[in-house]
Amino acid sequence: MTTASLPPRAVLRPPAEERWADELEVLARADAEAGAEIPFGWRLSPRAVRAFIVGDEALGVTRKFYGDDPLVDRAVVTLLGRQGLMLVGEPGTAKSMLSELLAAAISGTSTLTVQGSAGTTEDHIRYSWNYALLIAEGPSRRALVPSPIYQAMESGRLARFEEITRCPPEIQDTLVSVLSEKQLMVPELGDAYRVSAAHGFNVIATANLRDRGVHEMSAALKRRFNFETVRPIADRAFEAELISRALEAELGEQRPAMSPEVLDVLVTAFADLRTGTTATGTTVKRPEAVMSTAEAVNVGVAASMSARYLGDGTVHAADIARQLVGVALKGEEDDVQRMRFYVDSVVRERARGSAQWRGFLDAARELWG
Amino acid sequence: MKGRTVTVRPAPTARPGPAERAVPPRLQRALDSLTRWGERGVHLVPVRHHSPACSLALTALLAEVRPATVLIEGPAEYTAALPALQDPRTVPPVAVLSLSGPGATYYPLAEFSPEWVALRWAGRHDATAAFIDLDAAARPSQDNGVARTLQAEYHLARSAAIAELARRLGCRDHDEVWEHLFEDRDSRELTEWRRFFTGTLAWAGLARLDADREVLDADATHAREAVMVKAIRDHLPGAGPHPGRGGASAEPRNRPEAHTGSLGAPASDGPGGLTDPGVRPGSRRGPVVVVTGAFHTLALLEALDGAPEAAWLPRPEESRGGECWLVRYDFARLDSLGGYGAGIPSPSFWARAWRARTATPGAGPGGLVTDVVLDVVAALRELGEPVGTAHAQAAVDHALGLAALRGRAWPGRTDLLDALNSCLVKDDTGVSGNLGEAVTTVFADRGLGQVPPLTASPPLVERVRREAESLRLNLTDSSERRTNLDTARNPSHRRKREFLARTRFAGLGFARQVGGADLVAGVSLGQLVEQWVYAWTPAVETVLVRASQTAPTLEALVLEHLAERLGDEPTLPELTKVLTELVVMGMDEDAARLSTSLEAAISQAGDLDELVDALHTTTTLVQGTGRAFTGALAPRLAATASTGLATAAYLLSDMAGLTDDEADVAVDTLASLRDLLTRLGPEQAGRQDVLREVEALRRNPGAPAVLAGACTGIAASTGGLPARQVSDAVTAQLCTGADPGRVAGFLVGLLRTSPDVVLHDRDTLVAVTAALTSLSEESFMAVLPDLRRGFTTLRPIETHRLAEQVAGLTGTQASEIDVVWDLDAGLAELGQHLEHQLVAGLERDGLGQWVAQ
Repeated sequence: MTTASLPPRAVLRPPAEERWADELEVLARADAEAGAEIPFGWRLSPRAVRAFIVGDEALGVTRKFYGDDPLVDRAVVTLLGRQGLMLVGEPGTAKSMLSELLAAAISGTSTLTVQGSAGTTEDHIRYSWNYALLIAEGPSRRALVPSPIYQAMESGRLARFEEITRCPPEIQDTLVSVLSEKQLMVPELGDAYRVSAAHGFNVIATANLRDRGVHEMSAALKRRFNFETVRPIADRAFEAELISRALEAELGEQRPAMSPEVLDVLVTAFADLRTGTTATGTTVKRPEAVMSTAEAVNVGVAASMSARYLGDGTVHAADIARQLVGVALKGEEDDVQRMRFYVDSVVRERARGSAQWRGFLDAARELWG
Repeated sequence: MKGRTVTVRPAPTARPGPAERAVPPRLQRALDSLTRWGERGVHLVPVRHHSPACSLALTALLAEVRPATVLIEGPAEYTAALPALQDPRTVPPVAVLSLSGPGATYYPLAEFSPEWVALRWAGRHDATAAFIDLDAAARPSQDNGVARTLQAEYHLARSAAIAELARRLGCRDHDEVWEHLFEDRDSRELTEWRRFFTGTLAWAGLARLDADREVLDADATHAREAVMVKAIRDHLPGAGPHPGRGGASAEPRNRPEAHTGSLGAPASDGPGGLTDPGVRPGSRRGPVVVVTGAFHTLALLEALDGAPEAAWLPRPEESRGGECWLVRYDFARLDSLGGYGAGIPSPSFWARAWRARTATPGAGPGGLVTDVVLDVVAALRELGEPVGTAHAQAAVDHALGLAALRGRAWPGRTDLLDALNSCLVKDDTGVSGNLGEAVTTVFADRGLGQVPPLTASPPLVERVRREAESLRLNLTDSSERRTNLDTARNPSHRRKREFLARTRFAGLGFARQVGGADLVAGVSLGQLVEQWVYAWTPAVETVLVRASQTAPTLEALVLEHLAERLGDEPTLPELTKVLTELVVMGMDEDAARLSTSLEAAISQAGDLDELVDALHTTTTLVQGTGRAFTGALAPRLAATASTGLATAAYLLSDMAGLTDDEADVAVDTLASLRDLLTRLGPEQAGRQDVLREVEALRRNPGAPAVLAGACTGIAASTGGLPARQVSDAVTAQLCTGADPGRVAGFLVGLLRTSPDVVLHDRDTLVAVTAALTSLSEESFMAVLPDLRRGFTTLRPIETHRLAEQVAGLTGTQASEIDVVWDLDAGLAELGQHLEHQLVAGLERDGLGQWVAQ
């Protein structure tokens, strides 16, 4: 069964263009009314794309990406040109979300996506075949199975390439000719058969600095991308607001009560461990595990679920501590030591003056000794 | 504009300022008042310091209003600087400098500063001009920095209202808000000055409403505004004959000394003619233009209107005058990113924007962007980063695209930086590294302005500058330059070095030696070339201006420092160091005078180590005459050597009573003394006195063994003892049954002063070997650490040769007594890697000197 046949509410995670279809509609109407100039192949004007991502109170468009508006400007302008857009950054900094939002607003679809992995091959980037038809009819357009990038070129839309650095460099390089010549040859269908990219085609790639990084990427491919670094949110109060909103969106009516103090424990613990220092300047050992805002939301969701179904219906700091284990301890023996150090050096001190941190401390001791 | 709805995208000319939304009543009153006063011919102009947009709007205002009086925010005593500032030969960036206590305050002016535009217009159109702010000396310091600017804009940076505005507009900080709202408008729009300055008043008014009254009391904002209001009132049309001109006093009370040539000095001081502009004969009544920081305008209007808030201002202080000077300035220091907190960041960029807008034909936005991007790319290429033309083109397009997306008629600084970031950075480092450096050179270059000769800067500044230029030192900008000087063979290089050394001695911060032969430090004396670096920065001029209050010439300044250095009763090392510096500076006569004191100090020296060091230094000077003219000094210094050796002989006679620990230290001194004797040669007077005492010490059975060894070494290497007697002496000391401790001590001393005796004299080696082999295992182990220390003075090749000889004597092979470490190459590499990491770690933590030790 495809997602298209399900009503949006029933789908666990509808793509951005479905989730915010109303807002895209409002923005398109506003463009039409203002007579805004729309680039070839785009569904919205560049300013409307920007408004879709950073919000527009007057039109009732919500803000979806926080913390770096100039980055959004740069990304939109990059996509207007010939260069591809490479979003790099620590895991969990909303690179993929930003790429999805840009694709949804500019092309009306965010699903033309290649997921990079060690197993990604050239076929995933160019095209493969329906072998039954291939054997029955020989090479034909009907037997060809186009990749998301092939489809994006044909229809003049944005293609997304997630986690591009997870692919071997020689596979990444398949993109070089696509990006420079904006053409794809299909020699099996004859020497002259080629797909030329329609206006509106471009590629948004994301790369994670924790994995292989971008240093292994060939210079030829780098040259064809403009790089934008998405950084973690530095303002703790703002992060708290963001996590709270994300929990609301994730859990909706199922959300159990969580006091601001408990939320503060969640945000503070993540911020301390991510940055390696507390707000007052105490040094903390940073775990290898990713401690992004997205992970904090996951812990918040898990703690809420556990409180609702297994606890007394209220989220306590102890729930946060227990769920933190799953995030912070991903098999690195050293991370256990680092967490212990955090509990000993920071949490114990805070527990003296705060009941919430006391709860966190007690639960942490049970788990990490 | 960012943050506004897409549907109501306004035309670029209809950019509403914040004032057009819900306006706070106090701000609304000020906006109305601004218009009312303007209609009466009194134009308060709310500007941002160093804003080209404000300057363009102000230019239009001045052309239309044609004021008779132009009043400018700036210390009242700077009015005396106006003739120099209005002199056509003055080229910005320049700064008016005031000195108060240990601190220096700057009032920088660039070609695009509204204050500059106003005062130059007044000069050209014969309008009365005056600075109207509180005296520089009366302003409390905002921070602990020694250098500060008088145009700091702390309140704007701290304003919560502007921070909120930044959030809503999607701007990074208050600078980008300013740029977005005002700086990047279309040029034609900027000339609609009424609308423009209503906007700037509203913008700064929001910050003003945020500021606490107590803070404004404490930082003297209110006190300054009181002075400014009084000056404005005094100049209002119909205010009667200018009584006292507010703060703009025509005659500064503290008239400075004539030789300093400060701007407060009498008019006869220089050809520029420092007449007081306040009593300009052609002065007439008419419109008044008041150029101040926008943050003050609201308060000034309230005070002029007699609003309730006017009561917050204290009684105006009378100006006490004060000295000030005009100095060359550069954009690097004007850049608020450089830490001085005044004006908009990246002044070189705004200078280009100003020229692109004002020149005919102007370059236009595209020309400006192309120009900047190409310069950044050129700077990057110079740093070894190959950047293709395609990337430069992409960056230009990107900057223009960003400006269009953000609704800016002219691409601003942030658009350009964003474009460079997007198109030239290929990882997560952002604008840093080479790109950061390239951007800095283009956005805040180090080109210096020009001031007319002798009008505004003290003679000392000009003299030093002229001397430097006559020596062909490059002072065209404030960049650091390197020069290699062959002082031993090239007289002009030696003169250049002497000048650089004098500026160093005088503490100008202009030059320093970075390599090559260094007589003062006593290093690398074998090299021919000396390497120096120098940079003519505003800080150098500041030191010179300050110094000019007491010293008219560089020589006088050097002598002043010399007197300070010598103080009362300088130590021997200090005396020799100063003497060397005088020689390096080419000041032979002063050095000759000082050598008398040196001779006295040498004859009274009580520390042999200090004495020997001093004698080494004077010997270097005598022998290094090719590098530095010692002239008449050389014979005097040679005479010093004989006095010194006599003193050394005297001090040697006391050494027999040293403890073992003291003796260990003294051995190094004896080795150094041996070197000195070698350098001075066999004919040196006083040499025999020293050798006599050495011999006495050697024969003294009560002297520590290490000294006996050292003295035996000296006697052997200076020819005091024939070879045959040397081995006898060694044998006598090491005979069977001798105390193992004494054996070891003697050997340490001997090896330290004369390793050759052991290496080349077979009989001596036999005696040493016999003495050591006769020691019991236990005794040998006890003295082993001392022996190790003794043998470390040998070079590896010498150690190897010695091992071969010892092996021969004991009937074995050297290879058999060698300890061979069979080390895995990988392990060695790992060790080397660890050491690199350790060294890097220490250096990173600021502990590099541990490594050096």
